[in-house]
Formats: sequence, C-alpha cells, structure tokens
Amino acid sequence: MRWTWLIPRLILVALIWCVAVFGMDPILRYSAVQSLQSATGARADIASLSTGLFPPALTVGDVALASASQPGTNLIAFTELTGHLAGGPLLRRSFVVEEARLTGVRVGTVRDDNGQLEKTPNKGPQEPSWLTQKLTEVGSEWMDSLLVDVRSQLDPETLEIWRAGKSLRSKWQTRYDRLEKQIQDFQPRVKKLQADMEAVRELPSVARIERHLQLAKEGEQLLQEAQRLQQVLQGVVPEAQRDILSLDTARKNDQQQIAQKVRQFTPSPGRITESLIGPQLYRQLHQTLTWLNTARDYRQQLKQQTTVVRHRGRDFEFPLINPLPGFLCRRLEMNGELSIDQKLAPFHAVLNDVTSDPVLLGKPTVFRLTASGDQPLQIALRYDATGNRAVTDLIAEFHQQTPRSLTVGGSSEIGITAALANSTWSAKMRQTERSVSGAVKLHAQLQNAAMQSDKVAPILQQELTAILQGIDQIDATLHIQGDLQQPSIRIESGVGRQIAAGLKAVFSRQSQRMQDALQTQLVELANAQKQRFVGGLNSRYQDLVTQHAAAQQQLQGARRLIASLQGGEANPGQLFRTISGSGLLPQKKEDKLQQQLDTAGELLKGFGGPRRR
Amino acid sequence: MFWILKPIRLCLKALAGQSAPGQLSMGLALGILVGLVPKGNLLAIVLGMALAGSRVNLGIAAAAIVVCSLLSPLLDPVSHRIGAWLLELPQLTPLWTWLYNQPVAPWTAFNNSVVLGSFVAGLILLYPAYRLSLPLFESYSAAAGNWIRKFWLTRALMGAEWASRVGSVQ
Repeated sequence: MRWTWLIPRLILVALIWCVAVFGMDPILRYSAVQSLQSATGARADIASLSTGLFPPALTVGDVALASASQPGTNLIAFTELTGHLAGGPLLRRSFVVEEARLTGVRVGTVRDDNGQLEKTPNKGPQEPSWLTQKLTEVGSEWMDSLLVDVRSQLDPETLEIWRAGKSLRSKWQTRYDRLEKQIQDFQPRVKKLQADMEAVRELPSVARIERHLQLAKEGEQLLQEAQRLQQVLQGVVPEAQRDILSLDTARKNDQQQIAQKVRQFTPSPGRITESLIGPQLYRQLHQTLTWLNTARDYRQQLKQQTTVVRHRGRDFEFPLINPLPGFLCRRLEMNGELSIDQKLAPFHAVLNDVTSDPVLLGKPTVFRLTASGDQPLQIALRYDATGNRAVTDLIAEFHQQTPRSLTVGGSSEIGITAALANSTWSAKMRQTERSVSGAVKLHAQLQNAAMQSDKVAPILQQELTAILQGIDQIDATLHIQGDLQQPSIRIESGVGRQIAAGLKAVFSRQSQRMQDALQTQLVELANAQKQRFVGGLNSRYQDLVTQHAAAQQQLQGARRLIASLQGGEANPGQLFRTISGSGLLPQKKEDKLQQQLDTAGELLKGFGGPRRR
Repeated sequence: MFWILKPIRLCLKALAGQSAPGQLSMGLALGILVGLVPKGNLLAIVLGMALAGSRVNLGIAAAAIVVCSLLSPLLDPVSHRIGAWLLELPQLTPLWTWLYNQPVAPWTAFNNSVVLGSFVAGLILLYPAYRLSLPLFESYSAAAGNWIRKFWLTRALMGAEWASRVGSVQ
C-alpha cells in the first residue's frame, strides 16, 4: 500500500471524525438556540448539548428561555433534558423519542439580563381584546348601574308629586308676589286721590271745577282697576282649588308608578355576579384560554421546527410499510417547581405522544400536570389533531385555601369589599380552531363582606351589607361559547339571585318609606300654600274693597258733574246748584256766589233777558 | 524531522503531482459527480467517501467539487426535471417504494428531484468527462507537474526527500 494513497484518506477520515465529534454538538446547539429564539421571541440559553450514537441519545443541560412579555424573567428554565431516540425509526429518518425526562423545571425565574432580542419577531394574536376589555370594565359596571337605579327610583326629583308641588309653589309664589305688588301699588294712588280732593278746595272756583273734572276721571280709572282686581281675586280661589286637586292626582300617580317600579325592579343576578366575582372568573378564564392557546401554538411551532425546508427541488413521498411521523415523543416526564400566586409549588407532569404528524400517529397528545402544596393544581390537556379539525380539551382544577381579597367597584361612589376563602376553581374547555366552548366554575366561601358608598343612603348600605354578610358560599359558573375573538359569555350564580332578591326587598322598603315621607311633605306643603294664599289674598282684598268704597263716595260729585257737562246743560245757575249740592264749596263761598248770581239776575232783568233762579 | 515531513510531502505529492493521466481524469469526473449533488444528505457523503477511497487524484477532484458545487444551483431546473421524470416514472415506482422503505435509504434524499436528477446527470457525465479530459491530461500533465514544482514549498519538500534518499544511499 502506497503512503501517497493512504495518507490523504486518513486525513479526510480524521477531519470527518473531528467534525462529528467536536462540531456536531455545537452545530446542533446553535440550531436549537435559533429555533427556540424564533419560537419564543426572546433569548434562549443552552449551556450544553451532547449527542450519543450508540444508543442514539440527546442530553441538554441548563436551558433558560427568556420571556418576551416580561423582560428580566424566564418563561421556563430547566436543569437537564435527556432523551433516547429509537434506533430503527432513526434509520428511516424518523426521530422517535421513546422516553425523555425534564428535570429541575422552574417557571418565572429571574434573569441576569432582560432576555430580549434586538429584533422582536412578529407575534401572533395574543390575548383576545374582548377579554382585556372585560377585565378592565367589569367590576364597576353593575355597581354603577345599581347606583343609577337606586337614585332614579328614590330620588324625589323623579316623583311627579314632588315636581308638581315644586312647580305650583313657584307659580303661586310668583303670582302672590305680583298681586301683592298690584295691591300695594293701588293704595298710594287712592291716597293721592284723597289728598288731591282735599287740595282742590284751596283752588279758585273755575280752576276748582276743572280740577274736579280731572280727579273724577282718575277716580273712574281707579274704580275700574279695583273692579278688575276684584275679579282676579275672585278667580284665585277656584284656581288654587284646582291646583290642590292636581297635587292629589300627582300623588296618586306617584303611588301607582312607584308600586309598579317596585314590582318591576328585578336586579340581574348575572350582572351582580359578574360585578362581584366577574374579574376573578375572567382571570381564570384568561388563564385557561392561555393554556389552550399554548397547546395550539406549540403544535404549530413543533410542525414548523420538524418540517424540513428544502429550497431546491421537490420531495416525492412513497408509501411506507410501517410509517412513522418525522418526530414523535412518546413520553416526556417533567419535574420542577411551578409558581402559583407567587408561591413555588413542586409539580410533576407527563406529556404523551407529541408528534409532528398526529394524523399518521392516530393518537392525541395528552398532557397531565399535578402540582402539590398549599394550592394544589391539576391540569389535563388533550390535543387531538387526528381529524380534519384540531380539537383541544382542557380540564383543570385548582384549590386555593388562603383568602383572596375581593374588591368591587373601584370608583369612590360605591364599592364592596370581601374575601374569597377556600376557593375551588374548575374549568372544562374545548377549543376547535377559532371557536371555544366550556365553563369555568368557582366554589368559595365569602368572608368579611362590606359595602361603602358616598352616594347611597346609610340605611341602604347597611341593608346591602347585611345581605352580603348573610352569604357564606359562592357558587358561580362562567359559560363561554362562540368565536375566540368575540365569544358569548354568560355567568350563572346562586349568589347573584340571592343578592338580587335581597336588593329588591330593600328597595321595596326604602321606596315605601320615601313615598310616605314625600306624601306627608307634600300635604304639608299644599296646606301651607293654601293658607298663605287664601289668607293673604283675602285680607288684601278686603282692604282694597274698603278703600275703593271711600274713594268712590268722594268722587261721586265729580261723576255727576262729568255727566252734566257731557249733557250740554252748563249754565251758571245750574252749575252753581250742582256744585252747591255736592258739598265741594264751603258755605261762605256759596253765599258769596249766591249774591253774585242775584246781582247778575237783576242786571239781566233790565235787559229783558230771562232770569232763572 | 523526516517523520514529520514525510506525511506532508506524501500528501502534497498525492494532491499535486506525480499522478497518472487516468487518475487525473477520473478525479475530475468523480469530482463533477460529487459537486453536482446537493450536500447535506447521505448520498453526497457516500459519494465523497467513495471518491476519497478511490485511487484518483484528489487535488483535481477537490477542484472539480468546488467548481461544480458553485455551478450546481444554476443547473437545478435541469436536475429537477430529470429527477422528477424519474421519480414519476411508473415503471420505477416499485423501485423507489422499495428503496424508501429500506433503512438508511431515506437519509440519501433520493426522493428529492434535484438530488436524484443531479446524481443521474453526474453519472451520465462521468464517462464523457473522463474520455474528454484524458487526452488533455496526457498532453499537459507533465507541463502541469513542472509548473507546480516551481513553487518553493514543493521544491523544498521534494529536495528534503531527495536529500534523505541520498543520505540513505550513503
């Protein structure tokens, strides 16, 4: 054998051996890191990876997968993963892991770095938006609604009798003020007329007559105004009586309406339950859906990772006598610690029949997890993609002994505080592609329930608190069905019905009390108004009539004078007789005027003219 | 010193000179075959090992592998058509099915159209490449040997061997 032939071949063999021994594992480790990083969207650290050929085996040590959503923490970390590949299938290019073991699993551990990749990969749809909205909105929805209900039902402003009484009070107040002002304005005018009548005596005779005529006119106007005022005052009484009757009618309407509202007021048990324990149920639902989505996404990622991507040519498939999936892990055992409510709990899990080709395998993937400790958790997840549509079934049960505080209604207007103790959560869910159906159940003890509100009456608060404190058990079921992005959710609970019944009773009692108080208040108001109106207006009316009578008597002479002037009989003798009989002129003046008239008569006789006496 | 240099010298001689024209031609033909077949499958490894195990000139074979590997993607359409035609040929389906069910065979990726097509193309080119290149190597191998001996490293290594031979004679 020539050395020139042997040496190069030996060198080649040595190179291949070196690559196989020293290069294969680093290459595989690099590939694994890249695959995990593309799957999680965050850094993946693998301390060691070693393979063995006889028998085919894989050992991965100290793995930490960073969380993309929570920088600085690990999604999962484990100490070691060992797996043994089946030799026969491997010769046919099938990676079948007969049994694997994952030890030292920890979730949510802290990292030295933030664990984020420089380039964030595109993420698929995360938590459904409706769930986020529900989690933020639910809580205060029903409480605010209750507040509105209570306010609208018990607020006096909403009662007809209250509104009518208020309106009539305002109306009569205005009217009374106006009438009073008219009466007050009338009195000075009458007094002025009297003063003018007194003052007219000082005037010369002819001017006195002229002034008398003016005063008579004013007196006539005052008299007409007094008559109109009298008519108005006479019309006040029947109108006031009609208004009082309308108050009675409003009161009857209110009685009927309140009775009807009380009958119809049925607080929704579902809304009450949603408000009380909705956030807790939604969080549990969110957790359950996250598990379901993880199972679905894991399947897709596994398929992507195990699918050989060829950029050149096309692979032709031929029938196999004993076909096997490209990847199959028959059994994977996991041990470690799980963080439940920020407490570490040891867990044991088994994952069966994880495969890249479920149809070929004909078996569903089954995952079972049992966590012990203070808060035991059991999860059974079955992912069946053997048919046309992948179906994921989840059954979970979680027990929580330590009380969990419950706060409902974050607003300062109204709020309920309580504690849920010895909670047992159970979930049964099925996801078929984009549709989801199932239920989340809660059984717990309700403790230390209390209600605080600045807006609701203290007595109502006390009654509501008493209702809540009377409830010691909570049983609630959240049903979900429909499209994952917009499912219909229904909450059922006995506690909701219990609170609703209590609320109705409280409301009924409070409504009756308020109704009675309002009626009493309204009757008092109506009586007071009536007395005030009638008494005040009557006295003013009497005064006005008396004053009017006096003024009328004083103006009688002026009226006659006006009548005579309007009739064209104004001769000195007639004028004198008219005035002398009226008492307008003093006796002295009348005598003097008589003498003047006699002298004038004598003179007129001389001229042959008529003489009248 | 001699034991250190001798393996290197032998390797250089094997790679660069003192080969028969037939070995050079066969090295070129096999190099073309290995170079055309896509890498990353058992077929390419087996072919490479067969090449390494033969008595052909590895230097020429390595050069042919590098050149053909670079040119191979350009010939993919042709390779794909050849491979697809063969894989879809009904007469051959039992053969492919039998092969597909054999252990190790799936690792060769023979069911890939480009792999099979390029392999078949390489096999077809094997004899023409040998026959056409043989006269050329017969004419120019001596000149090529002289050219490669001009390099100082070659001369140094060859001189060391001659010196050792002289020393052994004395």
